[in-house]
Order: sequence, then structure tokens, then C-alpha cells
Amino acid sequence: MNGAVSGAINGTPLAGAYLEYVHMEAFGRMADKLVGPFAPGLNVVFGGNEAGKTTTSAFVEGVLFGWEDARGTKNVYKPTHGQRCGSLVFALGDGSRVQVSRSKNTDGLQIGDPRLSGLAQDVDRTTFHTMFNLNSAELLGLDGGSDVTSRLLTAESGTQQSPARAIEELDRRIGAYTTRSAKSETSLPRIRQQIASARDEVARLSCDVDLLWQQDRRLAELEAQKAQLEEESQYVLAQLTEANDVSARLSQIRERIQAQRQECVRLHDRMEGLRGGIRFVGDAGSAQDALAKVYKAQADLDRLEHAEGGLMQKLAQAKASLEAALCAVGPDENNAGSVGHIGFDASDDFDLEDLPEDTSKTPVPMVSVVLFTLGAVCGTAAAALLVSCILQPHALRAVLAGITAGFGVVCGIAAAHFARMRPNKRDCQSPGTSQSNQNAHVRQCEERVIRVTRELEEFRALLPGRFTQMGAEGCVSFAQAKRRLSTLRQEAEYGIEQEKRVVAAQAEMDGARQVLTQMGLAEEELIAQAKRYLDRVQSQSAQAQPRHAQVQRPGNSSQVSIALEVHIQQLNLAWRGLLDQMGQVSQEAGSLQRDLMQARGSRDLEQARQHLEELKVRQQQYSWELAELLLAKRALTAAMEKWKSGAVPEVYARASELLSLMTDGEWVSVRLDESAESGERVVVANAAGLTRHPRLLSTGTRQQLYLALRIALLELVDSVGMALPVMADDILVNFDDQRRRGAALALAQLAKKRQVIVCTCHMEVVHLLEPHLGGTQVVAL
Amino acid sequence: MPARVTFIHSGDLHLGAPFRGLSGLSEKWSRRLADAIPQAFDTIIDACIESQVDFLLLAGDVFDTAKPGYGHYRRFIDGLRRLEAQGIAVYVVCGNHDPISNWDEIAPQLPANTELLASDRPRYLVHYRNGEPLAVIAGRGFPLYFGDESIIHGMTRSNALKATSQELNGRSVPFVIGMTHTGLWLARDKAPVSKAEIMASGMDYWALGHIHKMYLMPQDAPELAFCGIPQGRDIHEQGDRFCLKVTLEEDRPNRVDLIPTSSVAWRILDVDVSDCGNLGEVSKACIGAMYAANREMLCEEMVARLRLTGPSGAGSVDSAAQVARSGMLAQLRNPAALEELRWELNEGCPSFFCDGISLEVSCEPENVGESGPFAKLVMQEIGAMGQNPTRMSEELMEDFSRLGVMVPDGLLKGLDACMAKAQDTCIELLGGAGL
Repeated sequence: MNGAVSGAINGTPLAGAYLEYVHMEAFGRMADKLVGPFAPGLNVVFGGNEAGKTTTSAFVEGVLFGWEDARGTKNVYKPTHGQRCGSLVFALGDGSRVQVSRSKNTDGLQIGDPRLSGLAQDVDRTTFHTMFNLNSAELLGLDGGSDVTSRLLTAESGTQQSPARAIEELDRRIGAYTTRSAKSETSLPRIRQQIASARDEVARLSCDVDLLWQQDRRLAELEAQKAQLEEESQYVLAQLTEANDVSARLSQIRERIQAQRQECVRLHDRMEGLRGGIRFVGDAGSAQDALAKVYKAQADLDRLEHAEGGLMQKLAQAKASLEAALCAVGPDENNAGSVGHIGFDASDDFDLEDLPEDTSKTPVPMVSVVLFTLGAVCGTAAAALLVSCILQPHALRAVLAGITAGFGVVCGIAAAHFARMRPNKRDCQSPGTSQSNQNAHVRQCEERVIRVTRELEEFRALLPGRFTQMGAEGCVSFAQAKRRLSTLRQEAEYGIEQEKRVVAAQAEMDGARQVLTQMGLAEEELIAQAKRYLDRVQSQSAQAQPRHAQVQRPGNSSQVSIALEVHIQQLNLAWRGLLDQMGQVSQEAGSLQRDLMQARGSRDLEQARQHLEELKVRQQQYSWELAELLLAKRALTAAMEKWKSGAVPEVYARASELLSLMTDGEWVSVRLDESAESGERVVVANAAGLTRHPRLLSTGTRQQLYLALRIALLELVDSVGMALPVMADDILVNFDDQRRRGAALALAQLAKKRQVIVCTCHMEVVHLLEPHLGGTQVVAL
Repeated sequence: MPARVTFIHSGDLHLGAPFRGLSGLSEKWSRRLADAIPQAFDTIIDACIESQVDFLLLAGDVFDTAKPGYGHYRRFIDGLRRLEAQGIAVYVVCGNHDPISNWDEIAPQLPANTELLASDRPRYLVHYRNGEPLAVIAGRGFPLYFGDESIIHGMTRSNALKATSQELNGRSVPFVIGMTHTGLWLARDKAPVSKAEIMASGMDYWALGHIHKMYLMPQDAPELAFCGIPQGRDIHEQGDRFCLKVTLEEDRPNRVDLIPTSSVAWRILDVDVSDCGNLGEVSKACIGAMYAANREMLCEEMVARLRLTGPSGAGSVDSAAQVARSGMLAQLRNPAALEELRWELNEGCPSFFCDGISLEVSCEPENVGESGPFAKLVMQEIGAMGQNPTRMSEELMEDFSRLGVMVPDGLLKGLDACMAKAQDTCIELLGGAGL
């Protein structure tokens, strides 16, 4: 025993303290059971079976180190009702008593006096159970003996904590690094698994990067493809626009030509209709001629009427002259000449040439001719402008066409107006009359009357013919003739109007035909343009331009339209094809762009690498921490071995004495088997030097061996758990009488250093121990 | 008027690289750090545009791996295209992390303003300004397979001018600039080059990559320079990081201006907890130390590793304060308590990320010795174990093998520190802490 350590225990409050009473308030079937008093040194508790000996031992251990948890079928002395509780009463060296109690484990050990605070500090439950709380079963071995030995031997090492406990803690900590439990954050096997997983994750994400690179390259290809398709589509679109433009313009001009042709037909029909609607007087070539004839006829009619009037006046005058002559001559003479005889004076012959000049023979005024010519020119110009405007719509041209047409119409009207203006009729001169002598005069008068009457009759007889000549066939009177001529005049005037319309229609038709001609030219130009375009396209396609522009060169202009339409269809197909391709490319590119854009912002690979790095760091960190712990354990273990090396021989020497005492010299030596690497290293030797492993010993001898070892240790470290009693529960039952005596002696020797309480149901054991007891050291249960 | 050229010298971007030595990153900080390196690259591009430099030199290790994340890759290309839009040329050499074979996928995507120089031999390119030759860029990337020759073998001013004489056609060029990826004599494991060889090359400036720490030689008018890493990646790459804006002018000393590029700085901070009596005071001390350190830096964000320092006070529990302090230290020896403190700091200071806190308050041997003979025996045992570190490391390896777990890297090298901590653990346990 290390002297320094032994010295350290002197003078502590625990020195001289011992267990005096055991008070089981509620423990198993014990209730308010007081056991004691006990005295320092050796004590005997005597009681029959089921008296409570084992219960008492268990109670002492339970109070000091906590009630056992209920596991399986083991009896943990839990009362049927209520909690386990009770106390131990310790007597101190100064005569005072200290109650040490426990109710709930969570409340811990309640020590009534701080002087006893170190009561169980240097001994743990295992050590107490192994070394202090003995029964015959425990004595069959010394489980964890080395450990318990170490605990005991280093309990007084001068440190605040037992080195054995320090090693326990180190083992616990080391276990946290080496366990595979998921609960341990420092588990190196788990970290290794996590590193493997993290490596897999990094590898997977690296593969993803490869995929992203492929996608990136694919996107670049698609963008190039897209650009090419856009270029092609621009080219095709330009071609299509141009071809469509040419085609549309061709279609438009053709529609307009068709419309213009229809217009021309319409104008022609209209003109023919207008022409057909004109009825001319007699053989008048035109309405104007007819009107002139009507005017002339009217003038002739007027002259005829005037001539008739003149004749009638001459007749009247002749009659009046006859009357006068008759009056002057007498009645015979007067009768000589019949009153009714009327004739014309030869000198007064009526000549139609003398009548006022027929207006039909009046020349048209020069101004009218000029105006008409001007109107025609204007009409032509208006038509030309109209055609031009149709071909190439232009507001100014339309206005000019309107103005020119309007001016033409005004000129036409003015020409017609001036044409209708005639010089005034020449005044007709009246013939004069003469008188002869009365008879002669009467005769003459009579003759004159007759002549005039005849003239008048002749005149009148000629009238229907003259009327017919004038165009008033069938008329027999001037009134009828006048009405007829008036009608003819109206018809002629209407004819003139119609003629004017015909002229206008002609002009309009001419204009339309001119426009049609211009349109034809425009169509030809467009066809030429289309041909040039097709030639150009074919020439480009021949120079390996895009496949979409294939075109057959048209043989002639009539094939141009067909070729153009075919080309447009091809272009449309190509355009749709390009649009489809561009759509597909754009869709794929868009999808890739989205993925790549997302990947741009992703830091998954970096974070996975960082995580892997962190795990490696933790692995290194924990490995180093484990290395520290292993080194610490090595150091502590080595130090403990050295510490023990001074004490262990002493223990074995004392154990040898005790074993020899108990076996009456049969087994004289206990020692370590240095050749055994593990397991039970203790061997015993008899007086002849023969060694035997404990497992080969009889039960009794084995128990004696381990009792000897325990007593030797407890004697050697008497300062460890110095106030705690050594409880021995019927440990001598397997011993024969001789060895029982030796054991009793050994216990008595231990009782010199520690309080020993032997529980037994055998009176002979009581008797055996009695010589070593004081007067009151047998407690009955 | 003397000729003058201005360019940005950068490199060692390590796009796609993880941040080393970190554990327990939050999701937020994980995302933040994943963006820090590309952000540094963007800053370099911004600097080129803002300064309207003639060109940008990237001296190797643009990418950390053969497979950078797609986002990083696109960001790199986008940055080059931004320079292309500004008419700024880019010259790139490969580094040991991104050998020329790694560029197979990227090279076809490089915009027209970017030249990737060969690694198998030096290449000489004439840079023009307004149609006039301004500088010859003599560059060579890090080759995968070396012979005995130096990476800058043949890269001299005269060879550069000779190689470009046909193109120059009699016209003079004011500057010749060398660029490569080398450890020089500072890190001899990567394309070592002697000082004498490189200084004899006659270049106006050597733009170098590989060494992550900025290095200018000579300091006031550098003729060769390592730009350093533009964004620190571990606790050993502390403080603000820069790219170099270099101005070469005829008949004038070279001038180098530093342009900050990092957005997250790293710092190891010692926090004296001598006056702290409880964990709350320790927390305050840590926060104060982080803010104080950050005030000295350009970066607003910081990754800090805290070392709690101060006397142990073991064995001298004379006053209540000392008792309290002992209790506090005992609490801090519990890893869970340190982790809780770290969590509190990270929650309370969102601009900073505390990646680890260590208690650097050792149990002093003399105090331990006073605490008991057994503790002294433990100290002796540890001392004895340290006498033969090789044997001890072998025994430890056996332990690791028996336990079926991985042996830490550099076990022999780190054994001393490990044993010191083991000693602390023993003393801690024997003292009752942690039990």
C-alpha cells in the first residue's frame, strides 16, 4: 500500500463511523423494519429462512447506490403498494448518529450530516456489490476482478476521480467514435459511410455536369442551326414576298383587265343602245341634220302658210276689189265677176324661195364647232387619265380626269347651245296690188279673184305633197303639219341629245379601251418581271442556293403564271417546313436554356464537394480526437498498472495467508499466472507447489479462494469505503467445519479493520463466530 | 511620350474548389462560400473594365478540378465575354490544377479576346494597341510531364523578340512580359525555377501563379510577382486577398497597385478568456474579438477560428473568482459546450462564421503534479510515450486498425500535439471534469 495514500485517509470524518441501524420503511415485504443495532467490527444477524437476511443486504446496497430497476423476473424488492424507501443510521466516532436515507432514486442519497458526504464516493455500485456485498454465489468468482481490483487499488490515488473511472469515461468516449450507432455524431464508421455517400453524390453531380456540358454544346448547335434557319427563312420569306407581290399584282391587273374589258363591252353596248335609240327625220344623216330639216320644214311651212295667207289676202283683196269694182260698175258688172272667183295676180306669184330662209340651211356657228372640238379633246384626255388612274391609282390623276371630263361636258353643252343659235329669218316682203278701170277693173278683179282663187286652190292642192316633202306625211293642214313638225323637232332634238350621249359614250369607251391597252402593257411588264424573277431564282438555285428555291424556267410568258404559282406553292411549303423546324429547334433550345439557366444558378456540385470536404475534415478531426483518447487511455492504463504493481503482490501474499488459514494449510499460495494472457489469471498452489486454476477447485475451495482475495483487498485498502459495512450473506454454507472455522477467523481479522455483518440461518455459524464477537453483536431478525 | 502598358495580373482562382478545413457549415454559409470564388473572379473582371487595362493575365489554376460546376464554368466564360465587349484581351496559362487536357471542353467556348497559351513549349504573342505593338506576352502553362528542363527554359526577352520578329516586321515593341505557373524556389515541388534563371531572362515583368500568398520582388518595383489567391480557401489563407494592377512604363520603375478581390476573409483569432468568469463573458469576448479583427479588414464577411487562451489556474483555487473560472474552464472542456458557444456566435453574428472554437488553456504540468501522485505518474507515462514517437504512432495505428477506423493523416507529425491534448484529457478526467 502506498504510504502517501494511506496517510491521506487519517483524520477524515469517516474514520470510526459504522452502520448502527438499518431501517426498512418500505422494502419488499418489509415495512418499518428496524434491524440493529450493529457494532463496529464483526456482527452476526441470525434468522431463519425468509426472515429478511438477503433483503437486508439488498436494502443496504439499494440505499447507498440506488434501488435496482425492475428488469425481467428479478426481485428488486418493490413493495406491493408504494415506493421503496428507508434509511441507514451511521454512528460516528464522536457518538453522534447520521441518518442516510433514500426514497426515490431521482432524489439521490440523502445524507443527514455533511461529515458523511464522502460515505460512498470512492466506491461505486459494482465495487460494493463485488467486494462488500458477499454471498455464496458471488464467491464462486471475481467477475471483473482485475477491474475491481484496480478500482480499489487506485481509489486512493490522490486524484479527484478514480483512474478506473477516468478509464471508464475514456472507454465511453472512445466508444462514441467507434460505434456504428446512428445516435453518435462522432461515429467514425458512420462518417466513413457518409463520406462514401458524399463521394457518390459528387460523382453523380459531376456526371450531371457532363450532361450539362453536352446540353451546352447541343444548345450552341441549336443556336447555330436556328440562325441558319432564320437566314433561310428570311431568304424564303423575301422570295415569297416578292413572288406573292408579283403574283398579286398580276392577278390584280388581270382582274382589272377583265373588269375593264367588261366595262368596254358595257360601254359599247350602251353606245349601241344610244345609237339605236336615235330616229332621224327623213334621210337625215344625223339628228342635227334632221333638226335642220325640221327647222327648214317649219320655215317652209311658215312660208307656205304665209303664202296661203298672202293668197287668201290677195283673194280677199281681189274680192274686195271686185266688190268695189262691181259696186262702181254696177251690179252686172259687179256680177260680171263672181264674188267667189278668186285668182292670183301673176305679178304676185308666190315663190317658196321667197319664204324666210330655212334654218336647217343655217350654218353652225364657228364657236360651236370650236367648243365641240374642245369638248371632244377634253373627253379623250379625261378617258386617258381615267385609264392611267386605274392602272396606277393616283388622286391627282383622278381629280384631273374629273376636271377634264367636266370641262369637256361644258364645252359640249356650250357647242350645242351655240349650234342651236341661228341667224334671224329674213323678213318676207308682201306683194303689192293694182286697180284698172272699173270694168276692166271688174273683170280684172273678177279674173283676179278667179286667178287668185285658182292659185289658192292650186296652192292648197300642192300642200299635202309639200307637207310630205317637209316630213309631215299625211298631214292635210298646217295645224297638222305644224304638230307633226313639232314632234319631229322634238325627236330631232332628242336625237341630238342621244347623239351627244353616243359621242360621250364613244369617248368613254375609247378611254376605257385606252386604259385596257395600258393595262395590257402593265400586265406584260408584270409578266416580264415575273419571268425575270423566276430566271433569277433559277439561276440562284443553280448556284446551290437553298433547296427551297427550286424552280423550272418557264418556256414562254403564258407559262410564267403557272411557274410562278408553282414556285409560290413550293416556297409556302418550304416556309412552313422552315417554321416547323424553327419551332422544333426553338422548343428544344428553350428547354435546354431553361435547364442550363437553372444549372447556372445551381451550386449543388460545389455544395456537395464542400459537404464531402467537411466530412473529411470531421473524419480527420474525430480521428485525431480518437488518437488523443487512445493515448490518454494508454497513459492512464500504464500509470494504473504501475500504481497497482506496488500493491498487488501484497494483496496476493495476504490472500495466500488467508486461504491457507481457511484450508488449514491445504492451499498455501495465491498468485497470478503470468503465462495466461486473458481470462482467469489467478492460480492457487498447495504446499507441494502444485498449482491449480480455480475452475478446477471444489466449490467450497473456490469460494474460500475468492473470499481470501476479497478480504485481502479490503484489508489492504481499508481507507476505501471505510464506513461501509461488509455484508456476508450465508457465505459459509459450502464450507466444512474445519474451513468454516478458518473462514470465521479470517472474517474476524477483516472485522478488525472494517465493520463486517454476517447474516446466517445456521446457529452453528453463530456459535462459530461468537468467540470473535462483543456482547451485543448478534442481531436477531 | 514614353510607352506604357497597364494590365491586371491574377490567377489561382480555383473555381469549383471547396473551402478546406471547415465543418459544421450552415446551409446559408455553404451557399455563401460556394459563390465566393466566382464572386472574386467577377471582381477581377470589374477591375479590368473599371481601369480599362490593356489586358488580363491569368497565371494558371483558373479551375480547381477537371469538372467545375456548370455555373462556375459559365461565369468564367461570361466574364471573358464582358472583357471582349470592352476590347480587353485575356491571356491564360494552365496550372497544375487545370492542365491543358482539362481545357478541352472549355477551349472551344473561349471568346475571341482570350488566348490559352500552350504548356508543352513557350508561346509568344504580340499585343497591339491601336494597331501598334505594345507588348509581347511570353507564356507557358504548367506541363503534366516534365523533363529536367526548367518551365521557363528559353523564355527570354531576346527569344521572345526573335520569335515575333516576323510578325513585328521591323517594328519595335516596348515591353516583354513573361507568364507561367511555377513554385520558383519557394515551392520546389512544382516546376521549380532558380532565382538566377528567372532574373536573367530580361523580361520587364513576370506574372506568376501557384503560390497562394502574394509575393512581389522587389517589393517597391516588382519585376516578378505572385498575385496570390484572390479568395482565401482555408484558415491558412487569412486576411484580404488581391489581384495586381500592373503598370509598366518606359524608363520608370514598375508599379503594382493592389485591388481587393475577396469577399470573405479568414482569420484565426486568439481570445483571451482570463477575465471571463462564465460562458456568457466568454461569448462576449469572442464577439468583441471578431468585430475587432473585422474592423481591420476590407471584407465584411469573415470565417473565424477562435482559440480561447489564458492561464489555466489549475491547482490555485484561492478566490471565488478563480473557483468560478475553474468551473467555466471545466465547462469549456466539454466539446458540447464549445459547440453550443459556436452555435450562439454564429446565430448572433450573421456576417461571421465561426468554424471552430478550441480551448487552448493547457493544464500546467507543475500544477498537475501538485494535484496528486497518480496524476504525476500519468504525466511521466505520457512523457515516456513521447520519447519514442515512431513506436507510439505504430501502436496507435494498431489500435486504429483494431478498432476498424481510419488513422488520421500525418499521425507521426502531429503526435506531439496529440499527446499534449491526451495529457490534458487525462488531467481533466482525473480532476473530475467531464465525468
